[in-house]
Amino acid sequence: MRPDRMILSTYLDGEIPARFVGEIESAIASDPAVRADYQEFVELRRRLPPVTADRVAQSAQTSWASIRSRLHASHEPARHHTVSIPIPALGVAAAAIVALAAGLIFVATRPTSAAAETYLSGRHASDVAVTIRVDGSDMERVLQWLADKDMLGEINIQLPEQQFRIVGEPVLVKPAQYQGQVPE
Amino acid sequence: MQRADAREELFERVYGHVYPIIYRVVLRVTGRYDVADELCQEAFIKYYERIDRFPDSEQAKYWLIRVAKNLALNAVKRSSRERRAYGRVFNEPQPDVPSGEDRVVRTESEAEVHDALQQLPPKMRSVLVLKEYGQLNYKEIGSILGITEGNVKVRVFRAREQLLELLKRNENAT
Repeated sequence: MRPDRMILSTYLDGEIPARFVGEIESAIASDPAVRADYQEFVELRRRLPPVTADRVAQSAQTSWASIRSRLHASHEPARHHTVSIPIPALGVAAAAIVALAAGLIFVATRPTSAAAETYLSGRHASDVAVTIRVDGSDMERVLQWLADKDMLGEINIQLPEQQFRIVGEPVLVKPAQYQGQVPE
Repeated sequence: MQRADAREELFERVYGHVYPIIYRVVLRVTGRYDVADELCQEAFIKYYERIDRFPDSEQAKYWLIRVAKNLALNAVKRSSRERRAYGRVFNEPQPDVPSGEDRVVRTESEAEVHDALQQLPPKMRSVLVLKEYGQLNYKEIGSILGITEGNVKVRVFRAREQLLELLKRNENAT
């Protein structure tokens, strides 16, 4: 049987079942028309522009670097991104004015007429000294203030001697545990 | 950490195996080195973003070839549209042949075949390019295009016949 052109095309691609290959090869060898048809397909394949292995390797290498770089850029953790927020000079000036005004209001309205003033000088963990003025006319109010603040760190208390009499040696008493007792 | 390492390893393996195939296919469909590089990179970035969906490297291969082939056909279509629009606006056709380093074909014969290949309908062109440049068998091409092996055989044959016809016509015209 004479193989048609589709069979020859399939043979060129190596997709003919093994049992028919011999028959096709003998037809190509013996029949000039079949051979001419087959040669036409072979010639077409030969004329297809080649893509050289060097070119493929070069492209693969270039693309690999580019892909890694693009993937790295898109998967970089957010903490590595630098975000710049433009702040207009006018906004900065307005914020400075607000802060200055708030400071002035605080100074003008702070309590100054307390019967007795207690000065608490606290030193925070960050080693920044903070002086706080508390209107405490008696020990109960001072202790209550301390308990409410839940402060941590070393605190030096300066008490006016007119209201707070010094008796005995200083002892460490937590505000919550103070029951009004006087040390012996 | 192990999962990330495994993913990287799979990506590298698939890249080494599949890149040459899709590069040859995309290059032959688009006819441009620069475009082929760009589209192959795009295909692999898409793959990386979906890598967990393809634990099997064979599935990844077929998916990548399909994506790259579609990207290439779309790029050619877009380029043709742009050329037509350019021609309409300026009353002169924009040259299709890239210049210098980007030129894929070097000889006159290669140029003729390249031009004839571009004239094939996309379905014919892609199946022939997958066969000739992807070095894939009919079964693999069928998996990529979602058609039967028999259909691949017929399309490859028809594509060859049409290509031969176009080449003969062009030779007679000159």
